[in-house]
Amino acid sequence: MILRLLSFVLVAALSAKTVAQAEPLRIEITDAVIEPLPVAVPEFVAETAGAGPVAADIARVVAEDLKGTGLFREIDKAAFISQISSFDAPVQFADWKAINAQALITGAVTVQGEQVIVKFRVYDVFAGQELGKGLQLAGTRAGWRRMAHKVADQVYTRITGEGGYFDSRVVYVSETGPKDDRKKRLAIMDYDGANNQFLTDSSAIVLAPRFSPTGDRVLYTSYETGFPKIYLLDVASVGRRVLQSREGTMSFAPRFAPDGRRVVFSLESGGNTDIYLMDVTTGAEQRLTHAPSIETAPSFSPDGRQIVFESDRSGSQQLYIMSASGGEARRISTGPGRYGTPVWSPRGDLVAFTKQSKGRFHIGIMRVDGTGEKLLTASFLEEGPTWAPNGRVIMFTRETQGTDGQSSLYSVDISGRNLQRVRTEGGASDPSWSPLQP
Amino acid sequence: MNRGQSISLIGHAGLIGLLLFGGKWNSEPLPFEISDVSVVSEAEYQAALAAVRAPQAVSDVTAPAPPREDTSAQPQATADTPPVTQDAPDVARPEADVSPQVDRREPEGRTEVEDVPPQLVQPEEDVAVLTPGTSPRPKLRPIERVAPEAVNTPEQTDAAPSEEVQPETAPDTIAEVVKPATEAAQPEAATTEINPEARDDETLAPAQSVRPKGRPERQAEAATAPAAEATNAVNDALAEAMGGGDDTAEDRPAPSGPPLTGAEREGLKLAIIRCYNVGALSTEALAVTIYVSVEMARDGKPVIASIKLLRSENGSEAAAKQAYDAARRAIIICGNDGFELPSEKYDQWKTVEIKFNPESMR
Repeated sequence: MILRLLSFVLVAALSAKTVAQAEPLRIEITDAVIEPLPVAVPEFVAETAGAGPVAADIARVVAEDLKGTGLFREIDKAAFISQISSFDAPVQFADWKAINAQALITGAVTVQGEQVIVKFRVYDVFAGQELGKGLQLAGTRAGWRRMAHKVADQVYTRITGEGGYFDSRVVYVSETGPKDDRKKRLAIMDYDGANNQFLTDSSAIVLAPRFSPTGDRVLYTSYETGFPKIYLLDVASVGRRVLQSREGTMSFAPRFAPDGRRVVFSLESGGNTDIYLMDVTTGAEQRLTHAPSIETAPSFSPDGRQIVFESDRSGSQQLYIMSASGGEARRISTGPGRYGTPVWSPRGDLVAFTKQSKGRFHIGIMRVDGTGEKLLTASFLEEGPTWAPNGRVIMFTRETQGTDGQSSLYSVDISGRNLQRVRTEGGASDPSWSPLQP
Repeated sequence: MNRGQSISLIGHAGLIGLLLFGGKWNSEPLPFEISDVSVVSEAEYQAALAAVRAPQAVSDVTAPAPPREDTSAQPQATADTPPVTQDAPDVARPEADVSPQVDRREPEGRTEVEDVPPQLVQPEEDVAVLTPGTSPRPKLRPIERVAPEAVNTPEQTDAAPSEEVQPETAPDTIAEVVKPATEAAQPEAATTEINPEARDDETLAPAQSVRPKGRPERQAEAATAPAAEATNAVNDALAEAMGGGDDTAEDRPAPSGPPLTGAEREGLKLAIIRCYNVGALSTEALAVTIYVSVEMARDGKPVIASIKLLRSENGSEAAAKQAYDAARRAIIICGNDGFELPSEKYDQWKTVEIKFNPESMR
């Protein structure tokens, strides 16, 4: 009994002591700043003779990739206190902290014949620890840029927590000549404009190229026969074939389904344009819309269950979502102006679109339920958004005003920041961003 | 439980009980004075009053007769004689200057006055303005070894001892054993005499006098003093009961002193926002709300090792980690020189819990 009483007293004493502990000061931060994160990218260590130039090139591309996102700022190498002379040497975090480097990327390159091996580490300087584990990639001399992009993708992912988009490509319509006699042909390049290659000649007008989900094939529309028809092109071999189509119809605006086996497109027949689904292998068609209005620009949701498209069934061009098997559609665009060319985000949460309002064009995004509309850009003419593989960046076409107006490619972050022109050889339009390369 | 513990436990429990309930058993009456009282009638009371009443004024008093004029006493006129003049006092011979009488008696209650500066009374609280940068931990006693001559303390180097185990070497039996020339080792630090009381010249006392505190309200003092005493007594008893001695910083009771003002809190928030860079956060990480706790040193600098993620809302673990990294960087970078916080209110901001909810950036 006495012991029970004593236990009670002790518990009561313990409770009283706990209550008496100091309360922390509580504050709430609802604001922040958006500034590029300072990163240090020292020269990668050349571990074999002759590896120096490759090591320098790889480090440079990694730094440029990161800078190009607008999320990172490269610290001038002249400010470095420490130098990385050995990949395995311990990092002097104090030296990097002193120059406010919040992330440090170290790397080393080995060249043996045609083989290039690059290894790297990413450090959180202020935490004084490595972000993830060191990684090693092997490739060829010719593929050093892709190796650099892969390193940058890893760094980006480790720091931001979301996937990168550097090791990807863009297929687009290359434009040359005056506006009234413009030559158009398909071209493909790295996301940053490097390694540009032409896929078709300029004998026929080509429009709207679209990558397959695996990035190895491209759908596009060509006026080669005088009528717009859809072609399927193999990127590696540049071989192509026309997709099966009925006589007297025009098919255009194709886009792959997420499974890569079906294609959704618009078909004009008898003055009416509707959306159809076709099996690429068999050519079997399925009509998805049956409206007297114009339905076009279909785009699958990433899970393949829904399709967003544009229609003027309400009297003006608006965005709608329907089931992938057709049926009733619901309108998601509600603001003033006309909406077109919707593209579902790879993440599935947003739809990018072109908007024309008050004589200006915009690239914008909205949630799939139509809420949260945000216009990211504004200019005389811009259209055709395409998503980066990570769903964070949008590339689109912008055309300048006048008879000698030129089309160019631009990219913008979905926050509306970091609008920048994409480097291309000559004019460019209608971009389509590939998924990350394997 | 052994006997000693049982006795100790019972003793402490008794002490706690005495402190908690002792007041009810205290039957000692308060001291008071006793006066004798007697009962008197009204007449007696009036008579008693009359005895001490003031005399009454009466009107039948006879007027006194005027005095008769005594002519014989009139002075007779006499011949004019010069007046006898008295010599004026000799001013050339002033009286001796008599020094005033000095009361040489010793005054009662004489106070001893010494020619020494008054002893400053160390204030019990509110010393944060002059608080030394380091905690007043006991210093290590200096060297107590005795050596024939004093030797300087060897220089501290940053070199850490190698953890690598060196292989044991055996002398080469064939080759000539050459003793490597070694530098004479520096003798151990020592002094020439034992001086156990020796201490560093450095003192922990404040270099300047502290501004005296304003006199507290009498009423407040009277009201809080017993309560404080009681609290201390209870805390002591509880600490004793729990086997703990001194209160650690963590066990300190609720913060004392005035809370931070709105401006002071806002200043801290703005200082953190300045470095809270969400530019490199993923959209998912930007949507996460996280709660971060950090301990602060008296100089306003965050204790980096104490920064921890308490919990998160509205996001995956990976997104919360990204958001936490950004928040942690903000605290470390902008707290590098110390946040501007009132040192006298240190108890109020010793531990800070921050909710990072960048809703305006989403």
